[in-house]
Amino acid sequence: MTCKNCQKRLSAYLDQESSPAERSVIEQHISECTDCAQALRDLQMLVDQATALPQKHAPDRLWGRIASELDQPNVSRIHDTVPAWRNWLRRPMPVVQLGFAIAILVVGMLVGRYILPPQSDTLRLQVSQQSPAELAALNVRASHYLERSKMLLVGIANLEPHGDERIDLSLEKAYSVDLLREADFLQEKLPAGKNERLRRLVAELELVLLEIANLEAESDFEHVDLLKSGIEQTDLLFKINLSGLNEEKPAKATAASGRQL
Amino acid sequence: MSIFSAFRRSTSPPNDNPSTKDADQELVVRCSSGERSAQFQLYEKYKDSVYSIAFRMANDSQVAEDIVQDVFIKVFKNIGSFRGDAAFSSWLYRITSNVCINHFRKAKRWKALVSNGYFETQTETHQAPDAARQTELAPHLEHAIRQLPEGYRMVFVLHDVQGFRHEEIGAMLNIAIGTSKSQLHKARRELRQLLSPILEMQRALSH
Repeated sequence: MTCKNCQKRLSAYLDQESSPAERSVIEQHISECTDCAQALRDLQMLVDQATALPQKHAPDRLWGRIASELDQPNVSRIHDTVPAWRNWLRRPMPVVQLGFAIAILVVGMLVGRYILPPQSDTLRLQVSQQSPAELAALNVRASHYLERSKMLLVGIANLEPHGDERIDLSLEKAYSVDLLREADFLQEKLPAGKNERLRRLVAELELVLLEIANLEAESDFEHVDLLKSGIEQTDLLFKINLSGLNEEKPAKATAASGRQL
Repeated sequence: MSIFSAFRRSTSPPNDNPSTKDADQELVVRCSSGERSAQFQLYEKYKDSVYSIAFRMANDSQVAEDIVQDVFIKVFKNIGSFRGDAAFSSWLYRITSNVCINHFRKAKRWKALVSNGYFETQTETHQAPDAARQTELAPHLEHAIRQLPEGYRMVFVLHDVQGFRHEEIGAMLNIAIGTSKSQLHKARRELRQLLSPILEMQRALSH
């Protein structure tokens, strides 16, 4: 056995992990080699010293820090506050469930086609029942809804939380709940077909408002950041501005025609 | 007596007797219902051993304190998920090693971003032992342990300093027992290399 091989095995020998055959070869070598015998004594001393190293003492103040952190209410994870419908959409849909959903859809279409009376006539009747004054009032109400939603979204988009700072969003939540009621009303009353773009925008806004309403009263950086990126990705502020411009055009055209008269 | 019979090492893992397990189990049950005095008793019992591991691994007392805090917060918040199949201490030390490893990962990422400052300052705070203690091995050993690569250091601290068995270390670090043994043997060889001038000085003085 060479010294290099022997010294490689000394630590295992010290811990009695060597086989009997290996032990006898090592012991034979050590009895003839002062360097390797010294290496064994050094290792033994190192291990003895390591075992005797004193235990370090945790500072007394540490328990206070731990206890105060334990006293804080649990911070819920971001996925806990994501609306349930979002999680449902994210979940992979197994083949059986997908087949079942298609079957329900087909049955629904057949029922609608052959059993129920044609609805389009009913809708047309409802639309025709709304007077021009009612329609104008609805449009004003819709534009107020969009303006209020815009204010809310701009406010959230401008939030700049730092680190662990928690933000009180109770006002924003209450405002969203109010706007959600308005969205329900508008979706029900706005006539289909003519105001399709406005109806779509109201529906898109409703989803974001739902998310704000479902936030915890005190939210952290992650919640707000998620919401901000959602507002940015859906281009909602841009769409609201575009909708405002479209409304101004006919108003200006009417004013211009009035001056001509 | 043969020279070889002197090389025997008794390994008794900390807190591994049945009465300790029972006492811990009782405290664990009380902690599960959020009893603060039971949490304090468990903390008092294990704080120094957790702090010792964290301190020797982290190279910094402030970081060691943060690690201890993280460990006990994790323990008390998740104590309901502790099934009691193994000893509480095994679970605690497994969390300790995980928190230490996570700390190193974060520190490495941070170090990659910040090439100077924080880390250099930290190592400066650990000077080699002063002249008056030149021939004492223990302070040099503490210093040398901090020079070991993280993997070697973790196994050496757990086995030789804290007295855990390779089976326990394997479970804590999620590594094979053989890996734990080989890391330990390499750590000891490396330490002997690092401490060879001191060991030679000691030999010269003893003659």
